[in-house]
Amino acid sequence: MKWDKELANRLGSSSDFQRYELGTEEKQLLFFYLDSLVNLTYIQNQLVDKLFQDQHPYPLTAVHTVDEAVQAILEGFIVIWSMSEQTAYKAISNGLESRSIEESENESNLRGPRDGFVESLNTNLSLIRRRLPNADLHIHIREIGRQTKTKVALLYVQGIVHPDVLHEVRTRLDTIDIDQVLDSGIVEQWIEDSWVSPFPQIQNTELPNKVLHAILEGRVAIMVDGSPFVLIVPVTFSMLFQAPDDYYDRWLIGSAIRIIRAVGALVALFLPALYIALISYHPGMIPTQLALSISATRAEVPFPSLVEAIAMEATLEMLREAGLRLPKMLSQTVGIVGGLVIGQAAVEAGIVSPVLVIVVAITAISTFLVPAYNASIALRMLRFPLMLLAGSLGLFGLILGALLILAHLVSLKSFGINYFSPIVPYRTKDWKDLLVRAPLPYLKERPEILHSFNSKRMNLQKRKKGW
Amino acid sequence: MIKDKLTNTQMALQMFAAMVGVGVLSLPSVLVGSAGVDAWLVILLAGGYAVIAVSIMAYLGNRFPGKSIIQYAPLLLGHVLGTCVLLAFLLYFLMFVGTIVRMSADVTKLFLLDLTQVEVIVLGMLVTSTYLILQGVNAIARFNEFIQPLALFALLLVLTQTLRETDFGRLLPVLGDGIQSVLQSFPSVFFSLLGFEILLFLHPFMENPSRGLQSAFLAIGMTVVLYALLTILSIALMGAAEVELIEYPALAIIKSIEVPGSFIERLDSIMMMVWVPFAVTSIVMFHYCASLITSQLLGLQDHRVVSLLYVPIVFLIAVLPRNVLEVEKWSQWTSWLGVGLVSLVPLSMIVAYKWRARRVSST
Repeated sequence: MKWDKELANRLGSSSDFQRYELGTEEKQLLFFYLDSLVNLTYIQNQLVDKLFQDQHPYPLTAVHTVDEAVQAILEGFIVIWSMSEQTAYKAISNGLESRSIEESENESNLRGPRDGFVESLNTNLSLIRRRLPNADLHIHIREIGRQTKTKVALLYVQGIVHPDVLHEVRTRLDTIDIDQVLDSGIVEQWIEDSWVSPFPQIQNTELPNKVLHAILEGRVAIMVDGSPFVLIVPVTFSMLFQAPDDYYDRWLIGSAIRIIRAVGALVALFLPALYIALISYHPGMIPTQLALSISATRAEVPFPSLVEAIAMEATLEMLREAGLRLPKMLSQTVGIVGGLVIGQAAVEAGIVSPVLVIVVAITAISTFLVPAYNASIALRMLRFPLMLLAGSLGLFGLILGALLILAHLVSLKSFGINYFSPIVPYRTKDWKDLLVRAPLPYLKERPEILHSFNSKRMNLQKRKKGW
Repeated sequence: MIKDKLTNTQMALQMFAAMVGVGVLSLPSVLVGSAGVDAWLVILLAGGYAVIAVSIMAYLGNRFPGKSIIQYAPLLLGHVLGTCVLLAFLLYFLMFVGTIVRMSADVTKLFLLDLTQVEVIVLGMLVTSTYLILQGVNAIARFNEFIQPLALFALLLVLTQTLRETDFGRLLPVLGDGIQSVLQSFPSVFFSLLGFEILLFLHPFMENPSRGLQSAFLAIGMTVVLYALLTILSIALMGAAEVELIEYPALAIIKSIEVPGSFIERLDSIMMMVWVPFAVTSIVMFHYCASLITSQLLGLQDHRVVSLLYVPIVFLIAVLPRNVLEVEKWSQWTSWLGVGLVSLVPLSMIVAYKWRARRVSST
């Protein structure tokens, strides 16, 4: 009994390793498993019964080496050693508990499917497969992580994705050599193009529909076992401002919402800096009446507008972060304390001007318009250097800051695709699905920037006009 | 799959970026000073001259596919003379960057930051432009592709507001001073169109080099139309005599606009917002070409180290002139150097090329 000893040797030091002998004279079985990973009721009621009733050879997968057996046990299988046949088999033990599919909390949408990804890779894959029963949907699973041996799945639609993109993703995944991959975030940081950039170059989502949308456009999705966040590559800047709702609502609504988001992003980035620049350097550019009323409210404020604005914006960020980690009940209190008490009291105490409170509030609301959380964080962070520039060089500094951000954005790439495309370089065909989401019949081609082989995605000939 | 090459549009906008710079603000005053009400005619004439020069450049570029003047100048003019020409271009570009930065900083100081030191403004512009240069020619092209149309659109939008108070009768009489004065003011007008010579250096980066000439025509056309428009509007709004006296007529005409019911009190703030990108992109183009020349002459793979090394030099050139008059003088020298290079170099090279081709065919 070499196997018996070998397995006990390797796994015996863990208390949850179990070895059981069962059987009659002619049929004796040894069971090896980890307590923590198997469902004992299932084994007793289903597996053991079947094994002893059935006269046929076991309908199980054979295991040939000890290494394989150890790996199988560690992955939650139950390894069965048959004395009579002197062979080992592994059986599913049905024991891994996982969260059931629920609505995603971070990405809620008004229109469209509600289910979100969970931690189990198999469940996540089934969410995709169920929606795309197509043999062209290829799923490649590999193990990444020296210690964690995490399963990482690569999803794409053959015939739509451009092979160069796929190749690029594969080569980058191959380079990963790290102890632990506990979330897709680790994979994201390893394979992203530029780690100095504040902008996310890989999109993560909890919505299966978003993933499907992406892979049907010719992108590649990366799923990591244990993480409900699925990665989508390559990513363009404009994607971070789009939500699935845009496509499910009628086009006018979708377009209007997108425009509001774009305005929101600009406001979130520039409004406080613009306030500082105008108040402290160029009050002449504001209409006289407004300038007078602003300066009247600012008369009692002892700080320069830069200090005032940075203090308020920093407070806002702290409040936001505090609300994020707290239980829901507490976070409401934080909101009340922060918003009402600090805002109101700061104005009444004459530390900040009411106009600034309005500016900060508008900025805060605007940042929440951006659907991708990591993109919104990037904009929020960039606001501070812009405020410093505006505070030191006025409008000129603000323009320089904007040019610097633009220069950075146009230089970024995501898996060989220009991050700022299709805006520049001009891909006018893709502009139909950029700021405005054109009516469905106009979107009959896949995005040009992805160089998809099969660019047509609709045939309008059967659709009659005016029925 | 991703060809990182300049498209035709990008090339046109690169050249437009190089040509339109600080000139936008001061141009009408300079022109009117030398050519009177016929200034806009001189611009068209200068545009025609630029078209000829650029045609020769494109012709040369097409004869040496994949090579820029940095490679074919030594071939055509001999090693020593060719290198001298390139060094002259280098000097011209560095001087040009220095003077543009300084002039931009002066204008910025005048209109936006009257208490800030000029050096700080110069440094701010150089940091921005250098960051962009470090990203490489394709990123620069994408940057221009985004910012130029946007800035141009905003500028034209602001200019439409001036139309209400124009009196185009002020442009008459056409050719009242005779053709003589038009021809005499030609060189000073031509200064403002300098910048199209970057085609010599950027030609091999194009996706479709045979269409380079087309892009160049487009760029020159856009610039000429913009300048002519600015000049005509300035004269029509204020009259030639006044334009001549005002240093920055383009800002003056926009300052005179009062838009009813608008949130922004003065449109010249928008004008400044438009103008800073114009200035920065011109700096970027010339600074990039200067580092390109040096890095390729030295056989370096990358232009980045050189472009960083040029930052202090450019900074010095920018802050050395003590006042506006000295800046003006430096700018004059630079412009003459530029005009000389742009006129003589392509011409001499095409002669050398033809002569060489004839010798090759006769043997």
